[in-house]
Amino acid sequence: MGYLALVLHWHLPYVRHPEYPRFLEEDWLFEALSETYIPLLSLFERLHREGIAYRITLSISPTLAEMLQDELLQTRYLDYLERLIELAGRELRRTEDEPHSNKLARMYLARYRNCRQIFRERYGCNLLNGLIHLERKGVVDLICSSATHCFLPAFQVVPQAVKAQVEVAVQSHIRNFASHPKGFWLPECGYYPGVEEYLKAQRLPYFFVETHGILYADERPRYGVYAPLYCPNMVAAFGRDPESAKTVWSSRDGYPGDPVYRDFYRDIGYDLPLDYLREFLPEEKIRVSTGIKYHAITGAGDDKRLYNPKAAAKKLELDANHFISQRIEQFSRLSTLMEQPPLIVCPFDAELFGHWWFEGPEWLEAVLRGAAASSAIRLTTPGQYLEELPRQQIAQPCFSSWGNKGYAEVWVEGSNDWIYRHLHQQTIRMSELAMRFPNEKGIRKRTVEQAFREMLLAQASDWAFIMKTATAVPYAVQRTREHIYNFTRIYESLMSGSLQQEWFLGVETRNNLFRKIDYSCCVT
Amino acid sequence: MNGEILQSIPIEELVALAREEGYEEGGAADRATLTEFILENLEDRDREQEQENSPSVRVEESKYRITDRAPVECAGSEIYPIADRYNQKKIVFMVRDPHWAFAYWELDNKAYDTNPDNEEGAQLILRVYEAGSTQHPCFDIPIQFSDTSWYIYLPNQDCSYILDLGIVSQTGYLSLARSNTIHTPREGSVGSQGDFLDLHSEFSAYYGGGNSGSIPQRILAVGRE
Repeated sequence: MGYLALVLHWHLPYVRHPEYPRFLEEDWLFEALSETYIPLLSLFERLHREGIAYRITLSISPTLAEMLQDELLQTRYLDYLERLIELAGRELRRTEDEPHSNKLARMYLARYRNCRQIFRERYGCNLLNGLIHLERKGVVDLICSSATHCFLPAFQVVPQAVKAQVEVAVQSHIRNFASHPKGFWLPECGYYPGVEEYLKAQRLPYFFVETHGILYADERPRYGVYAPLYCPNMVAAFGRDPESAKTVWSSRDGYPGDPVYRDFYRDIGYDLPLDYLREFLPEEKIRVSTGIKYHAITGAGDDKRLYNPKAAAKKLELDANHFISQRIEQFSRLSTLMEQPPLIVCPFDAELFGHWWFEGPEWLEAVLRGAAASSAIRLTTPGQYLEELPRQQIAQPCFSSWGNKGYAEVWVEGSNDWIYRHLHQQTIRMSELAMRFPNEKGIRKRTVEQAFREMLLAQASDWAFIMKTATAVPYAVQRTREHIYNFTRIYESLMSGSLQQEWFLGVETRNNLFRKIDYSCCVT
Repeated sequence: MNGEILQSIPIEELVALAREEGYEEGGAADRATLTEFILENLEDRDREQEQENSPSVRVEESKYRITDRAPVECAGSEIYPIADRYNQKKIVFMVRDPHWAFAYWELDNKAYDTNPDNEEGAQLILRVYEAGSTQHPCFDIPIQFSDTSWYIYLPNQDCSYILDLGIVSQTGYLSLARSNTIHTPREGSVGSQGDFLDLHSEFSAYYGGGNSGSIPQRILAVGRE
């Protein structure tokens, strides 16, 4: 027998633009809601209703939690769904003479209607309600990540930034979920020795690292990544299992790349005439993914077969069974090497399921059902595991991340390294503000609080990642500059005693996350 | 790493680096040959790594991808002007991986008034020390007054380093700013630990590698190419 801990990290950066009627990058959230978050919540609830004994850990980043409960974004998501329902309806008519495509159009129409119904009726437009419910039922452990998903190793030199990121995250989690986070997700699994001190100070008992974070610890890990390590301060580090990750993502036999699964790239947003799509597109001209996709991966090249949901459903059952049998086989191998039951930790970005891998949520559901039914697998969470097996080896994990090449290269490289002189400087200046204005009230208090929000927003790892991977670079650059600019302007205003109130109120209305925020943690 | 950086490394370290990269030619190799060899190898490796890893990057990218067209331009520098520097004398050192670190620095306005590039025989340098032995620098990297950041190759993993921004002139060495200390990460597992040896050996076999096995990637390649 062995323990299996599945961990899904839900995260998107804070994107909210009330100053525009429709904003392209807000679709990041809307796509993830329809394709990942609502399907995952639905499946977790379904399993619970059916009495399936499963446990899973969900890391909800504070920026995502803040967006999920934001009324403007909730309303805009419903508008987004209405547009999609209208488009899917139009597709039904357009494909009347193409039975296969018509069936798929019907599938999308049903999905979007279902999303609307679940979002509006079941959760009252706020998915946090569903997450809170699942945690109270004891099937889900909710953990948090840093306030704005900051890549913490890049802030070692200004530890007050790390402290602030952790403290604000915990305060926000408690307000949003009415419970203390059970553990912590280091953004990008970015670990440096010593970061655990800030976790311990916030009563966060564990975190996750990439495989080599454990394997290259300052003492050899007795059981590899198949048991956690306690850092010297007794906060536990859980390492990612490379074998199960490979089973999902291997180039030879990885699941999501199977030719029968639905293709991510082909989308009617690019395939159909602009005139037909116009009213659904931003500014009536920017071609975007609509989410309505009719093709299967098929193979290399653009010549794709139409997607066959039945064939995909058959395959995902096979893939889920394969995953389960591989874990059982892995447990039996590991058991001969260990004096305690092995633990396999499988962390994933939640957005892989549904958004990138369309069939991912169903695969996960089949895995949870299979694992719960197996006597050889015990589904667990790190918190539950530590309660049952509190005696573990003590060693200091190694600096690491789950980014390309395993260290900090993704977030510290030629395209994005320019940001750090500003981000470090504003952290130092924020400490100055916190010390100079410790017990303020009214507008001055709000001003210092907004400076703190701007500092945190600029520190999101997403901007550096996007600059590196060249996806939406102008937006990432603009966001970074915007928050540095806002912070600096507020800082200089406070120092000189001259604040332009109209401008400030605009910033405060726009970048409004963490409504109750305490900047005293910035005091050094 | 680029040719410029390799030019700044002492020849013995360049030879060691080339050997690490598989350079086996006998006899004395010149700097240019070694540099070319290392750069070619690194490019090959980067390409392989990119191919191997691209699906994982694509998956994360997919979160931020709503159009396959050219990204929509945004207002940036016009609406949000930010300073190039903050009028202070400082240097900051950041870990990137077991052998590379990033440093950025700035000089205050006073220093700008006395640009050492204009002073005969004076050279602005980055001086790298192993922490704990700041009397004996590891090596110097000559830089220009207009430079504001640098990627620095560090010979040892699991080792602490400090960096100075300074000027070497006919009158000696003057430190302008000293960085924070960084510690390079390990690139393999540590030596055996007593009774852990046997069990660990089993685990080494299980992972299919020993101390210098490759870093496991977050998500391996998906067969979609």
